[in-house]
Amino acid sequence: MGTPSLSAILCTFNRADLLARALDSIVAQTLDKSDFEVIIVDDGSADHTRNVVASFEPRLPMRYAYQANAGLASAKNHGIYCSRAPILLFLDDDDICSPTLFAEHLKTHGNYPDGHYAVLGYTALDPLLAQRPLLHYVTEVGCYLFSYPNLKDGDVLDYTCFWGGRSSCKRNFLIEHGVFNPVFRFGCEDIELGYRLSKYNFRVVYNAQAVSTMVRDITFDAFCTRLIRQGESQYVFSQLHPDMEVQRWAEMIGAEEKWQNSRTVYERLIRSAKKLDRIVNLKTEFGLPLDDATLQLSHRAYREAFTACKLKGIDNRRSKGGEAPTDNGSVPAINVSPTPARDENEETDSRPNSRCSDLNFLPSSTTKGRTNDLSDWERSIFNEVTEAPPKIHYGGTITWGLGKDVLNYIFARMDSGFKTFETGCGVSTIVFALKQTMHFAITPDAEEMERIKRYCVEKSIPVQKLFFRIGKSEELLPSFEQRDFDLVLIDGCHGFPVPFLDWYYLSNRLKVNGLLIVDDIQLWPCRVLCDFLMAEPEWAVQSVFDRSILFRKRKNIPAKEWTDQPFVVERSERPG
Amino acid sequence: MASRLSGTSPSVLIVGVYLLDKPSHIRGIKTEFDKRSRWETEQRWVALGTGAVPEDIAGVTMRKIDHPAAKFSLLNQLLTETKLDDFEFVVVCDDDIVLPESFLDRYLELVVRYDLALAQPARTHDSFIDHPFVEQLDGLLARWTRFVEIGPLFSVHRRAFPIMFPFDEASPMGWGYDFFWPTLVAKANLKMGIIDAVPVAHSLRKSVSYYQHETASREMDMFLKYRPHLSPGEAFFIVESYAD
Repeated sequence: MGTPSLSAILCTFNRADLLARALDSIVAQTLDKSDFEVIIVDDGSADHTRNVVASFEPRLPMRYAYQANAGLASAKNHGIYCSRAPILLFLDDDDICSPTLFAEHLKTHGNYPDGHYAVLGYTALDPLLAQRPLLHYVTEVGCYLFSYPNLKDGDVLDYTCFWGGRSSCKRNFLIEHGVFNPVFRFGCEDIELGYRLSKYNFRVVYNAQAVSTMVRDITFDAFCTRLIRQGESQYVFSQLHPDMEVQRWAEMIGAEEKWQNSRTVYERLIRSAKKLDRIVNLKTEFGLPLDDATLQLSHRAYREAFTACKLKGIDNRRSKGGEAPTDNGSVPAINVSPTPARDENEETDSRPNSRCSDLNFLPSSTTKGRTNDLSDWERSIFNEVTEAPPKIHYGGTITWGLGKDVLNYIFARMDSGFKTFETGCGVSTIVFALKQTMHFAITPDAEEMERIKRYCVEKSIPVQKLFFRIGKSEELLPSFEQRDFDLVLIDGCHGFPVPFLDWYYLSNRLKVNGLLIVDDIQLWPCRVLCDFLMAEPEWAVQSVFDRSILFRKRKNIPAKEWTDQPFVVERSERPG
Repeated sequence: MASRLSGTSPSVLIVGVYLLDKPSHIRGIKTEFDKRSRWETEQRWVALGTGAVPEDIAGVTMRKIDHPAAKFSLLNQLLTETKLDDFEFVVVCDDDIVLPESFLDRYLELVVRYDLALAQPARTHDSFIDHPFVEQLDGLLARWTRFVEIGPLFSVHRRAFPIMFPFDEASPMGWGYDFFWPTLVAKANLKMGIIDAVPVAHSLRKSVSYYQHETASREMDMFLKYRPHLSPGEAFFIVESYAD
């Protein structure tokens, strides 16, 4: 058995009839059957999917891989690892392939042989579906489902156009640089992977001749459900990557406030849009003309309703609590289990409106993507402050600070949406200010504060969100009014028991899933604190740096007796 | 196909190296392996570092080394002084993982069921992972693969002892073994794979955090240069997947 040139990966769940249509269209491919294979990943279907696949086995080079229902990202990864070809084409089970689809994808890869090029094909709407006002709106006007109107054949695009179900890429590039994050059961798995791959110059070439056709109708209710789930995934994406670029793509900027404005009218918005949808559908079905006013009104109603659905999804997930970013440098995980299983109404792509055409992100070159002057500036200041740090401590004669590895972590992971705290102050305080987190620092030395602020002002680092409390942490923390921190750094007084007191007063001011850094573990009080936390079920070690340990808070810490503390129990004798 | 690994002598030898001067999960690991199981277990560990051997681990600590030493050389020493014929499986374990409850019974049940002479548990999603291929694939029980990584835990069935032991000390830290092993396993007509249903958490230390990546890469290249091996693209492949 020779190695095929292309592996088509088709993940499916309880859509046996649609799958049969999709496979029929693959049988008709112009590409020789020895040149491709079809990997069907059955994501736990309970219908007759297996039989449908079996009926095509004589006609197609196929491999069937079954898994218990685990969601789209896991299914795609399963497909990647089952495939043999150098080019992987991800297909949806509700799309029909044009006969030259496979050949067109291969042709473009031939023109762009470097590993970092992917190919995006064009997905048309079935002509019957195209008449439906809702589908017309979400594909051509609002671009919730596809945003092709702004693309031109041959465009070289950025990762925001790596749309699932119609894109292909090089297997070895994924093997080397990353696969889908299994936390995404529906939506965003494609863009999130694209975002990670963009660090390796990932690009997407658009081939308008690589055509597939969507054949599944979507009702208004199903589309609302889809957008709520999309919003949930966008929130997860935003929590994995605090980068402002991701926050923008995931529509997180001001989302909380917008939802506060929408939540009271949410039901009304949905009801109105649904009524209008029914009216325009009826008119279309009976061949009645849609006057301009009705059309505009329906579009406005769709827009308001769909925007609210996404905001609702974002809020849903925020309320459930997404996890803070992990630092393992590979596929981070968030709370996989609470996401419901896939349902029949799921879509398999994830595109907020017209992202590829968001001209604010696009430089004038042929490659579309955003330039990042702000990040460049931040990086240069960061390098300066870490390589030649200002003298802050001991009357301005020396500098104490975190290791470069921890500073790098803070620099890479923090952003203006975060609320952070540290005991002590130093270079880390400047880095928090640079990243514009809402940052609080406690130090007994007001001069240290002045030196830091002066340095920031000299370097044009904003200090508006930097707040100092002058005094000893053990005296100030009991009545400290702030809470809900995303990150707490314990790096103040290191004498026993101060690190323990800092932890005690701050642990429940840290959000669940927030991060705690204990610095200077070479010192006994800090090391013992870390040993204690490592044994506590409420804390999980996220990373071990040279002199610091990073913990993630799993849940709020109840008041405990010593018998509830494994570290203490292990070292104690029970009376009697 | 009936498994060829059905145990005749249900004994498992657990060998590993733990660090004295870095945070580790050795206590939790020892405790988990000490639990009552359908397998008889024997643990043999080497302590590496200058600190004191914890009292509760002393009984399974065969020796203490206070100077830098290569993991697979130390493992070879442990293995050569043990009568391997007495064991059905050898489990090689690092000290920086968290094992799930009843790990050994659940893990080996699937290893035996799917006839995997060389195997390892998948890594939990929040683990440090160099190769995403070893991350747990949700929805699967196990998979027959062409890749088993050199850590943090792998098991070898007695039928694979002759091809696996002693470890080739041309790469004493093990760099490159995982791309060489599949050729040995295939040649011996055995199966290797990953158990997804019983993942372990590897979240304490990065595999290469205490070594230079460059050194590892150079040692791997040297090791593989004169040995048959698979490329990552060939190795990260599922021959067959298993689900309920």
